[in-house]
Amino acid sequence: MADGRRAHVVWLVLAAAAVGIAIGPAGLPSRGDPQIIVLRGFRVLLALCAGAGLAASGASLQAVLGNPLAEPYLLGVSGGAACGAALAIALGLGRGVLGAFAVPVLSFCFGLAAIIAVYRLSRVRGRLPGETMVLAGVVANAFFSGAIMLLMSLAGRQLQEMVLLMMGSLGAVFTASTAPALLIAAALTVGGIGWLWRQGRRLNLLALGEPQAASLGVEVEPLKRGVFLTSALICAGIVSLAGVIGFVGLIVPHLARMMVGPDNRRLIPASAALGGSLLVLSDAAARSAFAWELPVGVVTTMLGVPFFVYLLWRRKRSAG
Amino acid sequence: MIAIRDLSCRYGAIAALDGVNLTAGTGAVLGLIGPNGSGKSTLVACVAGVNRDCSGAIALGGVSLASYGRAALARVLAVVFQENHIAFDFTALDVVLMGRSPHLREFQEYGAEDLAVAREAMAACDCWQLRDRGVNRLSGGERQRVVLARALAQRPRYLLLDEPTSHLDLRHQKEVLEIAAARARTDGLTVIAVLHDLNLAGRYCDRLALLDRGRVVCQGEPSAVLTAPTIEAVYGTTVAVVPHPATGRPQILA
Repeated sequence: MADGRRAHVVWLVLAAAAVGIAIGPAGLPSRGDPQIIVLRGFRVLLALCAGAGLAASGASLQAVLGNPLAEPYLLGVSGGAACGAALAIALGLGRGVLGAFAVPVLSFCFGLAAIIAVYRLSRVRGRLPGETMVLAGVVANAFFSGAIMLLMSLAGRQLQEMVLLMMGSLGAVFTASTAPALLIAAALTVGGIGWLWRQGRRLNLLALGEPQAASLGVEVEPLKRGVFLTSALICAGIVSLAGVIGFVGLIVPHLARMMVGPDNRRLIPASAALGGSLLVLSDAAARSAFAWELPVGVVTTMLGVPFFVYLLWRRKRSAG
Repeated sequence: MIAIRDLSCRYGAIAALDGVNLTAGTGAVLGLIGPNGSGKSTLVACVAGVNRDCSGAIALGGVSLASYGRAALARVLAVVFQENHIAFDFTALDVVLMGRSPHLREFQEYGAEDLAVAREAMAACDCWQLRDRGVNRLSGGERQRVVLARALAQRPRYLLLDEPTSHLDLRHQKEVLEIAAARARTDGLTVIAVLHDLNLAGRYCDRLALLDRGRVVCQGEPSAVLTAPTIEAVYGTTVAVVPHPATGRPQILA
């Protein structure tokens, strides 16, 4: 990426973070309450990680699967991760320092299982055709939301936590004992995005097809496994704290592609920056615009569904 | 030189290749012909190193294919596959530059030399004027030429072409094979081309190998392979063979 563009990206993220910290129902933080700044700072960090991580995963999954509709939510990765997190909470592992590790670990295992199952179920010669992938994702999501509802019906005090997992919310309040979970999620997201970015050129070659990429020197299977694993790790960290935030991984890479083109060496960092900033800003709007706090997962779904319909309609037209 | 010894490959109970022995010489074009399902594409996939479920020995210039890593192989061998659907709207130049990636280090950007190589390859394939167009907005034939340019931009010593002329009109069919034959002669490339069109095969290949049900039925100069009895036996239909009025190469009349 050119240095000038790189600077724009950094400014975009910093500006969004500043707005996220400055805006909220309590108004501008005055000099007297540093607590609000800390609380909002954590919230902005979580929103940045969630938006950046989901968008970068979405872009990479789209490249690996040769399918522009791929994203963590539609593939069932987020649903699987939420199910794993709900299970950890139901088993009473969700509290304190132990929870900071147990919830993301179970979340990761279930998210990875989801993507492997969907991939096996819907692949045709190494690619996931749009329609079968969407169907397999629907099946996976139905299974996981059924499982979560089962856990909810058995849950007592933990019900509220599970509801937030399914809705997607950035409202988690971090204390000294839960802050490590946020730092783990942030580290997984930053590390994961970095690894995905490094694969940019190889991901580009996959657009030519798998045998073609192999003939250009790409080790295709290890690359695919790596992207699946990394996406599941990123989602686990995000979902165990913020729940299922759908469609960010679909909308943002498409917008980023319009801005910087399909080259993954630019698309992945651009998606991450755009996704992080967009989620921070939409969260700032969502918690200031109404008298109550709108869960961010609801906002992204309201935006994402029409966008998805538009993409399907365009595919239908170009196929028809 | 590409030497293939006793190459076999099975898909379940079906033998796609059954003890194939073939040699493709340096500076020459070897044409693979045969009916549908005779094993031509499988043979290309084995030599390309993308089908690893085969037994036998393949050597490139005396070095065993198995001893090459993927990246090292990509620096000496380029492949044009039959199917060339490209996901996402990369431009034609983007796609051709992808052919340079085996020669780049991990984070190295394309340099002036890569651009020059890509430009030369695209000019040779008559597609430099398409460089800024999205590949998915090109016609099938235009895209085929872009993919061939991508293979040439790899600057390979060995070039495998799996039906490179299938989407092309007559002029571009001839041009593609003329490019391949010229590169073989001037740059010493070893070319293996799967061809459906027997007349193009007879016209542009230095040697032909006729495959049937995974075996090499006949190989040699075009005039030795493209004879009425051989073609009739393998394809199961009657033909007439006449010499090309200009070149004297054998031509098949259905």
